[in-house]
Amino acid sequence: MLPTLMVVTLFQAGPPAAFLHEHQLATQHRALARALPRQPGAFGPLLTPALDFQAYDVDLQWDFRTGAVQGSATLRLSGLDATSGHVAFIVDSGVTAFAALTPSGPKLVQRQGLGGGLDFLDVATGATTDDLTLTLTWSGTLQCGSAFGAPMCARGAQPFVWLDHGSGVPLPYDPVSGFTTDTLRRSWVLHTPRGFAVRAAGDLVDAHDTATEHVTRWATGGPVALALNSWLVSGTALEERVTALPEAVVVSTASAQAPDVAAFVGRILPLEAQRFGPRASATVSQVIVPQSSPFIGTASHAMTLLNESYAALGPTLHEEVWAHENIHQHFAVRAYPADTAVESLLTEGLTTLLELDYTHRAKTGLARDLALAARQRELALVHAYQYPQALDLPLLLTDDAQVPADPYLYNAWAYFKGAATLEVLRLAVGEAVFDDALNRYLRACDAAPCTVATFRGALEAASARPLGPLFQRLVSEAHRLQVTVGFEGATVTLDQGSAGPLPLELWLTLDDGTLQRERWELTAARESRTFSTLRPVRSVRLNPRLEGLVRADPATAGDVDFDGEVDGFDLISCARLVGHRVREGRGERAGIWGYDLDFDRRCDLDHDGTLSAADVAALPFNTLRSSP
Amino acid sequence: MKRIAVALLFLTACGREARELTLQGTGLPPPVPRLHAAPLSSEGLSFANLRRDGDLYAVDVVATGRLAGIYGLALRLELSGARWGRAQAARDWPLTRFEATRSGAVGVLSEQGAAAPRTLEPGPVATLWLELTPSQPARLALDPSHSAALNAEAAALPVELGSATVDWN
Repeated sequence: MLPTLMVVTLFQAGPPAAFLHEHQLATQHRALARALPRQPGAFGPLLTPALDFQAYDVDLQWDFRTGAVQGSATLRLSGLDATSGHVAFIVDSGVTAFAALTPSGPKLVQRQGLGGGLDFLDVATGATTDDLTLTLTWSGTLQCGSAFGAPMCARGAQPFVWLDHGSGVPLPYDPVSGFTTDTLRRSWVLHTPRGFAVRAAGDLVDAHDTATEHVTRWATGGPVALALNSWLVSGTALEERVTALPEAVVVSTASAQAPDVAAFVGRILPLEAQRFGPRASATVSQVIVPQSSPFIGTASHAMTLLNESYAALGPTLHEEVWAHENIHQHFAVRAYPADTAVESLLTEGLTTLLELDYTHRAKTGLARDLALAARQRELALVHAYQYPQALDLPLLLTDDAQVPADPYLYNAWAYFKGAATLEVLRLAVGEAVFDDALNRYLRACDAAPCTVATFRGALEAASARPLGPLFQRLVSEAHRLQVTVGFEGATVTLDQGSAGPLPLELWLTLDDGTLQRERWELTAARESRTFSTLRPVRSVRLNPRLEGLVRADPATAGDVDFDGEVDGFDLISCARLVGHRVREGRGERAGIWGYDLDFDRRCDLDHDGTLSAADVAALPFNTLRSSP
Repeated sequence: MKRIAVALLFLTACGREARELTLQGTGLPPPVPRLHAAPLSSEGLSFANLRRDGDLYAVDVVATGRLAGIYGLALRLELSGARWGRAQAARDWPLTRFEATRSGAVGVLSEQGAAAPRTLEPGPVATLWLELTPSQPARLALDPSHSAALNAEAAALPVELGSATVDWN
């Protein structure tokens, strides 16, 4: 009972736990990168790597019940001349026996503790211009320490355990660029205790049992990012459930959620593959992490993991979070950015935008606009009421030290500001063009390390328009964008306070209810434009999908329906929300952070997060246009 | 200048008083206003029960039938030949506001919060007090493009909005 209460409390307090876990992994990555020995003056994901890792084939005996590991591997690489002949690894401190061989003989290995149950290993291979095959052997008993805040393994006869590269399998890294975007092929032969299921971050090649062992072979379909987590999961209670899709197996500890998750992925995977093409792997294991586990979820090559606690969000959002993690198979696994720390727009921003698309996939036209606008509203409310400072941080950072340490602020910045910004870009170029750009971006990332510049290039190519100044303003810089909307007849005046490019879509509602959409590339601080309309204009507002990023207000205070005056319609719009609290969404009207999707900050005159009768009473009234 | 203004006011007041005195002096009954509500083709809001109330005339906004699912009424009253006085809801609403405009009034009657929509039974919804000028025809109307009966989702309900004229016998 206690874990349930804790989970509910966590959801009420802030963002879903899996997003926190992603932050935890990102934080661990950065902490590790800072702790690792490196060449003087070097270390940066965007630096040209010194080493070119090509393939890593591992044979591992892993008894999760005791933490005992015994492994061997061949690592093929080149480029050693540029590094004075050194290759570096991270490994669990419990792996005490480690040896490295080249065809010329054993190599000197120096070990250094990194803290957190991890060690750094330096293998002096000697400089060579030839490709090199390094043979490694190791054994020991895993400690599974804190590993900079995110344990890389778990051990013991537990229902669910995991192991990542860098713990029971030495993780190579580049001494110049650290966790690089270098890609390599990976394979595993796993020897695990017979009678227990196991899954690895690859496609299953074959499996058989010996008298004591369950032997499975796994391989990546092609090169995968070196820096990508590579999970192995097992445990005393792990079981597999086939789904309607041959590419997806649901793995859980007899979770009651398994049928639901099987149904989720049956919808998610085909839809996203249809939209974004092939994933990096042929299969994607769907791992339901038990609620009792501190490991909450993430995406890895050929594997999506999510904690059971997510069911507390309700069936729709539960499925949406599974969609989020599986969309990462495209935007994180297949397209692994050069620097996930400073370019989270390309992982979390994109994925958050697309998870909203997934949930509202059945809607088209205005219904889609309104549904996505409601979800964007939550992003705006988080920024308006909880983390306004997220708006002050550029999406493209210049240094990973700028990444917010507060995981909730990190979410508000990387996920929410990222998705809100992408929505502005999407509306600027159009939905079909944006999807085309995403596919161009994915293909570009297949060929070379991808960056925000890659994404911008894809969007420019798809839209056939330069976007440099816009990306500069929306991505490289940070602005609290706000637009005041006023109109007289069909003449609309927009005031954004300061000059700069801002693509907008106006919604002109005519007096017969017709909605007329007008694109407007705002550049000056204040601009007016007269539109041709078939009927008198009744109201003018921005497409509310923009409001995740752009704070839109009417020129007349209290005019919540943007018809240019404050009358009974405005008061009733606010009166019906009396009692609503911004962070207490109800049922289907709650967002992913539990925010109230109906909450209109324009009614909350005292900005206390609660819509009260006093707010309604304080609304101005009778600010009417010219009398009829 | 101030002296002139005072004099004009005095003259105006005297004139009014004199006219009424004259009417009374002739023995003719004072003119009586009569309300003619435009018929509605369906159930809606109209006007009824014009009556004298002190210096003003009261008229009811009435539901002509049973109106269900009403969360609030957003009203824009247009007046010609009459001047706005004040208004009062005929039933208790959590939110009631009326304010004069240059040509009439704007008003709202509404539930608040999670309150369930209500059903308006036929009869008065609100009472308006107007200043009518004897013998001068007047017109009052709910502006259909700026008035509506709204449900709990703030969507307009198919409630017809009426108008009425006032003439004098």
